[in-house]
Amino acid sequence: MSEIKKQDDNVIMEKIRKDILTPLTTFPLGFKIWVGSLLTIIAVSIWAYTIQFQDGLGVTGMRDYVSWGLYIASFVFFVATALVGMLISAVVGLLGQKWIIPISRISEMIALAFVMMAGVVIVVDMGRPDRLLNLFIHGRFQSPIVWDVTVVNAYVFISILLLLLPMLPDLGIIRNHMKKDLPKWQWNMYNILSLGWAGTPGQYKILHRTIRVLLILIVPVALAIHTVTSWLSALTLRAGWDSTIFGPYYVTGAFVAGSGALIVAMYFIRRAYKLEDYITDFHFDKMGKLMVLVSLVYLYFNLNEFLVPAYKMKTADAHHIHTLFSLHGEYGVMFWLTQTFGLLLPIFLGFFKRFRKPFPMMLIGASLVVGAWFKRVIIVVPTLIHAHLPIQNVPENFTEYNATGIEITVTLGVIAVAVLIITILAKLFPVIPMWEIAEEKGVDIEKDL
Amino acid sequence: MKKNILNILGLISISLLIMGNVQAQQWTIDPELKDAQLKVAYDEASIDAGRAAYEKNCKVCHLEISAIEKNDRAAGAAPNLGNQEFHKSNTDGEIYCKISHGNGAGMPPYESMISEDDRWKLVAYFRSYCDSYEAPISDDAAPTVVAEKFEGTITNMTLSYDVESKIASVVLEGKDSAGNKVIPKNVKVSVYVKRYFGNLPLCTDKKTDDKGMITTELGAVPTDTNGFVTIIATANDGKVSAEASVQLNEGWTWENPLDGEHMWATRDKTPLWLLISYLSVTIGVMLVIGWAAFQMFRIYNLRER
Repeated sequence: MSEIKKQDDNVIMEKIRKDILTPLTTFPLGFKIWVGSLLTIIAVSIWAYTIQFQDGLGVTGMRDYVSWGLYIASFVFFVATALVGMLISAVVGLLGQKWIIPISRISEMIALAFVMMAGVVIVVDMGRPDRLLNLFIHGRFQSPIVWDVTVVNAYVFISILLLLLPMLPDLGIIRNHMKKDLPKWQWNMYNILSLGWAGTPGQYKILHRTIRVLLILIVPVALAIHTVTSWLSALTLRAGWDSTIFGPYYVTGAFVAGSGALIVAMYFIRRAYKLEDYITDFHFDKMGKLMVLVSLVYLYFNLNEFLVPAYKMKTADAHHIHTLFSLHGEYGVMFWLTQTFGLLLPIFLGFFKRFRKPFPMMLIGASLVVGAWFKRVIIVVPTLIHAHLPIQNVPENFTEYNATGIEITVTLGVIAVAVLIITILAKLFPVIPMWEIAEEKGVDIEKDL
Repeated sequence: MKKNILNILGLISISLLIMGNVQAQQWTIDPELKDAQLKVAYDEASIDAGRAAYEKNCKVCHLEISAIEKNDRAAGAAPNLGNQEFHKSNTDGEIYCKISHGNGAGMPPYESMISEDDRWKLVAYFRSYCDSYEAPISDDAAPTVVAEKFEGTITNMTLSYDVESKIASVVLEGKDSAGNKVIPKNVKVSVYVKRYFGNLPLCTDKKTDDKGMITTELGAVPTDTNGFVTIIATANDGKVSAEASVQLNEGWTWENPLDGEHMWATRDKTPLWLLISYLSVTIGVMLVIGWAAFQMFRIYNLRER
């Protein structure tokens, strides 16, 4: 290698290190306020959960009819959003799209945080969480709930590996260059996690192969996690759930929710860490197009999911459809607001280049995420109100569902924990894969890191 | 001082707990119905309709009613609604509200289950066990013409069933006030087939004929596995009843749907194909994850020493 090339490489690496690693060492006021407010929400929700833990699920709005409320809706939302890791790194990445490199790690962080909280929110939904172990001791293999627990755990492990493995070269860089800038414990942590990364060809060979195998593995696992989640509903005989397309309906909906969450995270991380050189307008434009694509697919599944039963209007389905379609129905307003702001409007705006700029895309992404959460409420709750067989001898108010303050507080707390995990991960670890960026720029990464 | 505060706090929390429990078992009485009187005519038709509703909805817990002084059921069990204490301490409206709203504990609300009319008729039926009840006088109430009502005492009831003709017959014997044997005529008798959760009425409005007998046909009734059903006959004053177990067929074998390997069976009866699919996929994924973890170990082994 020529001397000039080596000098060039050093300059490029110097800049990459400075740009991406500086946020690891600074704690500006905005960051402290952000973490502080998240911790406040979490503290209040822990207090609310304590009440629920002591008094039981009676403090929530869930009763005999609606036994799955905000918690399970949030669970589905978390699982859905977590699929973004698989969408970006595996589906788009394996198709050879290089533009996903700077945002792939953010998507993995979202995936890990959200799938972990999906597991937590299930425990929150339990009246007797102390009996959690019974699920593993006595769980029936015939039950989709057992499949779901299995596949959620598998996804957590693969997500951890897919976050850690591509980060090894970066951790090696931090270990080599940041010893003076970091507290001792933090440097030690990077030192251990870097697994002695030295950037030798042998290490790269193993790394590339392992990542590739995991990226292939995560596609069926991610499809399984959300298909099984949909089966929790679809395998029961209920108007609104009794559908053969629930698996793909959930998976495509997950891509919409996930790309929305990724766009929002991209925007705020880019602003906070001043990463305009890495996450550029081009990436927002690309994400905008991807968002329109997955939303169109989801729209297609929505048409099937709602118009087919609405055409036939079987008795129970008719009740369900009226609840959603009619503005006088219990969930009519929520349904149309969700479909408009969570699907139709983003698709429409996404067609125009001027809306695929960072700020408008962030607003559209936020609209998608909020819409995705409400959509899960619409999928879970109204069906439960219209049972095929009425439950007998219950008070009138059992037939409706009004989430209580405690329930809402706990839900907000769980969401806050998910966001906090992303915040901490993005603070502790480089959010952009430095070595892949360097490789893109032609730096000989096997020599110098 | 500190101990005192703890004691007081403990006392407060205990009393709150007790109050909470009392709250949980309270009857809801609508104020406007508190002193209400029976809103249906207090006549045979209402009482019979009330009895039918009782058989269907209430009997499963409250069991057979009898006119007695004090409730004879164990504490916590649904009371015998023929007890006079209950009748003296409740207005018609209060009984109606208790049926409608329940008590939030053992007694469920029946507002959405039994029509308003039938709930009042239930009250009328209960009142028929109250010796001192004075029915409200209303204009539209049919004059209680009790045609040739049997005045004596029924001493015996015989229930028999003829397999050939599929007819169940009930024969009453009685005596008059002087103690002479008479045939009880014009006594209304109800016949039911015993079921879980409310009996199946066979006839509810037949009156005994000149022989003191009623007959009713038993249609196609599902039997227990031995081929038996239990028939119950009750004279409508509730004071005499008979029960007979009759064999309708040879019996049948019940196939427990939980036997065998099914999707709905217990864990130890998981269908083999499902167990193999689940385990092979799970173990396969775990092996790949384990392999990836091993690759991390290999990377570590290649570190610069």
